[in-house]
Amino acid sequence: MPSTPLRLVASTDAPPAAVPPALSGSAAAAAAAAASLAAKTHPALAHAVKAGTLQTDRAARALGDARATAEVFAGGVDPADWQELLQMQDAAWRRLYALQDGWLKGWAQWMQYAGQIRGANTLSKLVERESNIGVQFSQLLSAQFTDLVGLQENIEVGYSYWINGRLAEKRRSPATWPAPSPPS
Amino acid sequence: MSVPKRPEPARLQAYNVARNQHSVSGLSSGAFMTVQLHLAHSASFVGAGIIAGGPYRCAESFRNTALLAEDAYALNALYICMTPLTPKTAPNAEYLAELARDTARAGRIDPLANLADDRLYIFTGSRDEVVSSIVVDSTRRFYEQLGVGSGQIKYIDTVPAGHSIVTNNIEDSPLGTNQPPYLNYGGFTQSHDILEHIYGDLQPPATGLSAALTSFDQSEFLGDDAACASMGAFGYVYVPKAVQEGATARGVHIVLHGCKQGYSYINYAFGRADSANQPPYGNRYITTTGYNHMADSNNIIVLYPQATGDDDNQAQNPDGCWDWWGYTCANPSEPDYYSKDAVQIRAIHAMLRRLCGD
Repeated sequence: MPSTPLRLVASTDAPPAAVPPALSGSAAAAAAAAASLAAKTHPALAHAVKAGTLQTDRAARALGDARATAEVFAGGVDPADWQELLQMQDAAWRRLYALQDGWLKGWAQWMQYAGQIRGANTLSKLVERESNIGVQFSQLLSAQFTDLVGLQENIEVGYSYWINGRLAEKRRSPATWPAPSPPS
Repeated sequence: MSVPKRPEPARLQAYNVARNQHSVSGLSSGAFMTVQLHLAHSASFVGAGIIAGGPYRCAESFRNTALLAEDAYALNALYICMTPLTPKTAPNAEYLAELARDTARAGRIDPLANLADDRLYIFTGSRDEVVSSIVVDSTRRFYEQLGVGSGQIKYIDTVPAGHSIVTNNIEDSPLGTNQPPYLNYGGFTQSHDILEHIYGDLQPPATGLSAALTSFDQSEFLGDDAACASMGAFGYVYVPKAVQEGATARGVHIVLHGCKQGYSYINYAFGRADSANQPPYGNRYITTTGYNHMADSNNIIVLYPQATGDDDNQAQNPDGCWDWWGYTCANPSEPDYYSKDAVQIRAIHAMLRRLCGD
């Protein structure tokens, strides 16, 4: 395992102080054991355990991030941190706008496809065509929902990575921690 | 008529090749793997070409993002190593350089001093929406941290390209495109630029090829790890005719395709292999990206290892990506995808040794 002096981000060795309790080694081991057991039993159980694990991850991240946020910003928020938070927010909005743009193009293409019926000159082709319209509709919805969840995960992971890095910095050098001031 | 018996696949042959003058380049997952292979066996290489790839072991940037190691590394790969929101949520070059030094001290990769005189081509399209330019900039800083002089690094971030290797083929996608086959027309041949930057004084590319691109059996290099290696049955190699006839090759250049670009790539549509509609992306990558023509006029052997898609939970890799987040590892908590022991790195380096007659 690496024995790096840097602690700006968490490494694969012993968890740093910023690690929330839910992400301790024993919790990870328990989760691994549960996943392994579920995989060996029934598929439905494996699905349920996986969903539970991922939701637990989210909850643990949120709890850890809340604690880290409270500790990092205990005396106020440094201007550089305000700037970083605003940049993150701006980047997230831009990603959302880009997704919406793609979604609108997808729906426009679907409308065009659904609005045409030429070429369906046999009953089998007509059935195929009507079925395609329905399948494409659900594909679009599925893809858009996946995109949205992906963006949400991105924001959560990005913030978690950043705030825990800031917490590690603060704990490493509390004496030089910047004095907070309101954003300009 | 009887069904013809399928012949045994050809074995990779040995040739006269200059020692330790090899290089590697790749796109996307192939670029992440390029960095890993370059560091793992830096004694063998004189340079690398990285198109839209992140720094070494960046998937381990933030282990505590999930309970299970494999989940954490997948989240890191997707959101820290590919699409970070800002530079401060991207891989930390200083930290990863320190991690690389630790890995070298542990003897799991070659000494990093080998990198000092290497030449690097690092490219990020300014319209890349798959691997952010922020990440590729971190790769540049990572190499600088390890002592590669900025004069040896050709860093390009101003071309308005999407996620792709840029070609001069008018049939390829528009330059700003971010979709398969990730071959975009840009009015120049990026593979030529890569080889020229690494090797310097090269002859212009040949107008025609003197030899044929041939397939070889990859499975012999995988051994007992074939099931989790996520590599295809066949790889490809281009050996210029002069080298086949006994001339000494200047080196071997290893080309690593990106996700969805292996010869056997099959799209998984809603979790099912759509084998009736197998796109020929892989064949285009090994024949139309320009590597072979440049190699032909300069007596360079081009090796094209092939990854393959697999969605059976043994190797969670439906898009046929190279492993840069640990999917091939038996124990995800102790990943070794980045080291000389990694199944894919071991196999590719064994191919290189075979070509050199070692």
